[in-house]
Amino acid sequence: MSLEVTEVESVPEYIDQEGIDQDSNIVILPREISVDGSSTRLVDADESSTIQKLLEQEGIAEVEKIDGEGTRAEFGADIALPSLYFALEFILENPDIVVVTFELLAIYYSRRTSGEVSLSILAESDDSKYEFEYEGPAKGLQEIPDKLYDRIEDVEDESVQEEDEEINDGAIEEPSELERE
Amino acid sequence: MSESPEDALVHSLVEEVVDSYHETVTDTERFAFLPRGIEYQREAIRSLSDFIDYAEEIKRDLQIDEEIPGRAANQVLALICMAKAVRHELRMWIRLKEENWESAWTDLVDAQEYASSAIAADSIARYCNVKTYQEKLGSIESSIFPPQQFVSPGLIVNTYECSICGEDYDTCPHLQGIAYNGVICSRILRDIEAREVSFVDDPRDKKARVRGHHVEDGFRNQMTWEIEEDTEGSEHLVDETPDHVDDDEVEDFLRIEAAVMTADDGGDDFSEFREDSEDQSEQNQEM
Repeated sequence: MSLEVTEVESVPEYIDQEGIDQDSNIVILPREISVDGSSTRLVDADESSTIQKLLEQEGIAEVEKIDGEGTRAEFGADIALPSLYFALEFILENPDIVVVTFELLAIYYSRRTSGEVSLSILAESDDSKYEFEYEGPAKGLQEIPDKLYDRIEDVEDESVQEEDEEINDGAIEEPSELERE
Repeated sequence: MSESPEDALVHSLVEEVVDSYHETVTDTERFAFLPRGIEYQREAIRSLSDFIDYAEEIKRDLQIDEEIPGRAANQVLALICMAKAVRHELRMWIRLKEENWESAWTDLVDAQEYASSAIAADSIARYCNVKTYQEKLGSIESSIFPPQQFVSPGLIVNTYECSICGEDYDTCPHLQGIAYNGVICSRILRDIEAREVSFVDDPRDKKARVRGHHVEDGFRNQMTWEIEEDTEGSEHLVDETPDHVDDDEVEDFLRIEAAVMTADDGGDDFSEFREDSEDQSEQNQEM
């Protein structure tokens, strides 16, 4: 099981353009694929609709999907899940929903596959955006919220420390890779 | 709270199927090994087919009554899937003895898929030692068969249809891989755009594999490594080179044949193992 964290460019502007209230919703993002090597097209990831339906049926209404043009079908034994976006305000205001979301995904995909699942989570911290890349057994998905909140706390601690030292360059340390067996 | 008479009846029906499953599978699993006699293996397939017919009938009864929770039908479905897995494994051993390697591979993959379906259908599958059984099938795959090269299609699907309600999967209430009243939801591809084919190590469909490649004097079968005669019309393919391949690269160019996608339910016909079918076959041989 591996969970890799990297700092990424922001996507909130794109979500805003789609008219989605990102502070109140988990956002399921489409995937960009290349068409004929010259242009790109946005498509749904293969599991996007399933995740949206699963969460809504289990009472999590705060889910929005940005629709792509068609769905990129996957035929691997391992399951590639779509990218999910969590705004900082949503993470801080709705910890229960975040935890339950990943528990539901862990339960559902544990039944679906004995192989691995991969998932990318884009999340805001106070002043940065992070991408969490998870790859491992479906059961391990339920441990992601802890890592998410740990990361936010780390960043907040770093910010406080930087203020104390009157360092005002706004830089954040290079991303770390968290790997566990 | 005591059980209602209706619930008690449902429980007793499911228990009957569970008992019958254990009796049949315990009896037949001991023939699921290569050295066992083919006649015993054929007889075991017949026993499993009888159990499957019986369990399907019970499942239909459970499905009809809307008052009965869908879990009862799901439990019976899980047992049916496990019985079908063992039935495919038995036929795999027979096909191996017949040196029908391609069919044996197909039966192995079907056995693996039915074992996975049993887990998806209901947690009762845990009591059928399904995990241990999956490990056994995995060992057979890696020790009996040569390594396979798998392929996977790259598709954009504009519409998925739900196999349960027939509606657009995006908007219907069913979730793929979940059993609803004895039927597992799956997505049917409608309106697709084919994009590419990739080689993959670990595909969802292990029947989608490279069958072999063309060589100068025929077709090398990936399973047996034997060189077979080219099928009619395919021999000229070896001499045709795509425009984008330079002449000096031709020697490195390999033409393969592969199944890219296969039907889910193509191998469930076991009628050849029915007693009346075998009698007919013997009569034909005598004539």
